[in-house]
Amino acid sequence: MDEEKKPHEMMIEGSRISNAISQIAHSICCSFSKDDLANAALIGIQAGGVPLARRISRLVQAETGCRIEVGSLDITMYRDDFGTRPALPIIRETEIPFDINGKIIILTDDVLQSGRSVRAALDALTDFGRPGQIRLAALIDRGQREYPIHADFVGETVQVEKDWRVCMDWVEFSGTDCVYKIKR
Amino acid sequence: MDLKWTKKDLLSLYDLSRDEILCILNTAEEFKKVSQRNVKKVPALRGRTVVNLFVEPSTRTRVSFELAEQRLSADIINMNADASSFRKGETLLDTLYNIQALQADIIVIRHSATGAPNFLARSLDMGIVNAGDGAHSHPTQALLDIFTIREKKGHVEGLNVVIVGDILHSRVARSNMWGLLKLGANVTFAGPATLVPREFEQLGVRVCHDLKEAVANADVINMLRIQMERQESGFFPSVGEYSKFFGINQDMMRYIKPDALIMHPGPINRGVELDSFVADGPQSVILEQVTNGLAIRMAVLYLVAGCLK
Amino acid sequence: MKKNTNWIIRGGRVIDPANKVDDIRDLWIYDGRIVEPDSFDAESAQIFNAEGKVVTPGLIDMHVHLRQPGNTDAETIRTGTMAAAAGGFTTIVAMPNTSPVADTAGAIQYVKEFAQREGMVHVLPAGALSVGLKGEQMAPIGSLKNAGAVVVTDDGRCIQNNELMRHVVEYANNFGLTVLDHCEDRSLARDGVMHEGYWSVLLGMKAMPSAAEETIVSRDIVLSRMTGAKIHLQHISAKNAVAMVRQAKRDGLSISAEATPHHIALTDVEIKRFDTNYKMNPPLRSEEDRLAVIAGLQDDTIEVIATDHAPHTQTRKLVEFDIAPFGIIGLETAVAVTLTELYHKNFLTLPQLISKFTTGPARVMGIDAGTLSIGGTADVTVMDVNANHVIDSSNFYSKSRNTPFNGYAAAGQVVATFVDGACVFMRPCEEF
Repeated sequence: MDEEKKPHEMMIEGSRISNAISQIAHSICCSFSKDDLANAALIGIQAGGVPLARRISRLVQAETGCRIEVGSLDITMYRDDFGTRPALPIIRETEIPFDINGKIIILTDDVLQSGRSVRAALDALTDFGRPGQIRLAALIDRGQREYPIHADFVGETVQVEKDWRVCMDWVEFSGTDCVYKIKR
Repeated sequence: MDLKWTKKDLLSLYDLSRDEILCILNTAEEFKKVSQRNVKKVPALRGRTVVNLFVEPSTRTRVSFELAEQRLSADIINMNADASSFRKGETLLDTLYNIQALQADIIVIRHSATGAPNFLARSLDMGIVNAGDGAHSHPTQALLDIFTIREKKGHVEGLNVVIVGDILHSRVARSNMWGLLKLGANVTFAGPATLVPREFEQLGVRVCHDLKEAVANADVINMLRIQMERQESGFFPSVGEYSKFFGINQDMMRYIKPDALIMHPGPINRGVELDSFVADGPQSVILEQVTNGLAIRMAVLYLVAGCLK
Repeated sequence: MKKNTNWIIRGGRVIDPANKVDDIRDLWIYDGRIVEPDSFDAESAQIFNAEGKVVTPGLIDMHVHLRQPGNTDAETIRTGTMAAAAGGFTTIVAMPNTSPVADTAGAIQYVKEFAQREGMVHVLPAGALSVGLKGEQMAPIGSLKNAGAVVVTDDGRCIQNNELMRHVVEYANNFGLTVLDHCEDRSLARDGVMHEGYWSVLLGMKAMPSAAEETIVSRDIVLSRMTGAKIHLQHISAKNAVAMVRQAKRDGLSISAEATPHHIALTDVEIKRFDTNYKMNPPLRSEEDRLAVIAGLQDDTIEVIATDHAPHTQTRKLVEFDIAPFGIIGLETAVAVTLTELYHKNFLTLPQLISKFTTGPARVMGIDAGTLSIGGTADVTVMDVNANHVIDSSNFYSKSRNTPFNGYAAAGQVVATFVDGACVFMRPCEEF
């Protein structure tokens, strides 16, 4: 069935999303010392994690004056479901314009569910070097974990039945911020 | 940009749409970055088996494919055979049915017979990647050439691309032609009349038998390797005469735009198609082509593998 | 058990080009011969209802490879003649490129005797022109004729030595035998596997130019003019070859030519599929050539349609295009394809088309066949010229399946075939 035609249901919109991101940024500022923040970088998992990383970086800079570098990471080459989907996911840009060795890396993703993407991201990331610490920030945690992975920073936790998929639109991609669910 | 790849084979650029060609080029850009990292390997094809079946000798292409497969973490089987062995005993198709029975996933095939990969793709479930067949098609070479052009010039559309040499017997020329035409470049084939048939004009290709005239406004000049056996078959009188009229030396560079790219699929006959000053000169992108070939082959294998059931 | 050879073929449109007959009438056959209507007791004959059908002299195919002796996994005299019967052919000429080559009286006798025992239709052997088809030394043409050869040819090969060819045609003419030539200059054709033109250039295929055919057509015309010998040019396919034959005929030379159904129906564009069922020699040529061949049939420059039935096993054909053998089968598709391409597309009338399969080849070879004359052998073909059907090669009687026409939508097919008054093929009723 066409994605468009499946039932959609809006969950979170507009300012509630901005507030959730602000909360993550604030938690990050509180969790690290000034020196640590200077040694930290945000890496967004393609695609939804990338705008999240950029916004967190701006908010952290506004709060602490500390500029945190931002990168993007595509995990397609590291997925464990390669070849089992009807069509291949597109490989998006991986851009890590800094040395990750010894750095505090905060991975960001929009929706955390099974933990498989994060597992793939950890593999991908460690092929670039050996970070000092890796932390995870997720805007939405919807539960249903399949791997022993948890987020260190979470914007909102939502309860959604198994047969719904949680998706997100970003202003940066489609002109609007919203979290919605689609019946599988 | 959001195009989905759906083909289990890569046989010829003739079969691909403009968007599919762009999909490969864009995917290759990300794979090129992999080769620039410390860990030059990704697990994408872990557990997949790729068979490199070379029924025609090749060193460069085979090494490039093999490295691409290793960097994608595939398991690799290398098979080299002589085309004549298939004439005597087992047929090519029988050999491949046997390979398929071993649950191999992808065959990378180089064959001296035109259309051999197309013939196999009709009968096999495995993915088929054409690594060059007869004078027909060599899609990964053309893709790496076009990738290099796009990387250096920023675009392909509207560029004047001149391909020089034995067009008649060249799969590189034909594959480049399809790819370049689909991406909106202007294609010129240049060389002696015995090796550059006029029929290409029907496709919108400019055919030119005078090198100076051909290269005058060129943004890209792709020099093909000349096979010595063509001299024996009487297509031109001697390598010396060929080189004099259809090779690029320092003198010829005066007629070529200073920002034109000089390309060659290798291996170069130094002093024949290109003299060393040109081959190693600032306009040459020949080694970049080799680097990009790896990225293109990783992208192609990755895309094809993703479409196998 | 002796087969019934008394028939009344009732109510069909009888087309007999030799006798300029084209009307609805009954055809009476008694004891294997054509007889006057009402000349015997109708009670003793079997009736064949041919209403709505076309009744013609048994068709002649002067270009068939039966593969026996030597390559009986592809075809045998038995299966090849069964295919002929199903295709409406009552007389076929067996090419000499068997193994061993039919370059000895013994080899000719073998084919004749075997065909008499096992064959469903008349098989006329062709003898070789040169020993072993090697193009080096003349075959014993006189002895071949005595043994039963009706024509001589090195088909599949072409004698490249012009002096030898000159002597061969003179010598064959001496014995009243027509020489059939597969026109191909080897130095121009080289290792080509398709027609040289737009598609070969596009695909990068090794190609043979029309000039390879035209050069030898021209040579043969020159030799016929010089010696007066009868030379028949097999399967001509190139535009200029047709033009040269047309001029030679105007000049009154003893030159004749044949065309195949595949050169009438198909062109080199098909090669882009790399399907070896489109690989034959001469190769499928351009649309321009195809139309020239049809024009040649229209003005009788080309007076014969022959199939060049060339069976090959799947094992030999299911390989890379470059190494696959040349040739396709044609006996069971010729009538359907030519009716569709020539009659239904209004290039030829039915009597014209029938003449290409009857009087044309009979005249070229100087044989007594291809007519429905009273007193003659009752070789008869009945066809439904409008039957729409899709060709399905799995139903073929031939041992081989190498045809490009599997799945071809045809209008017209053979319904029944009679040889010496005996019904050797009748299409099962449910197919009507």
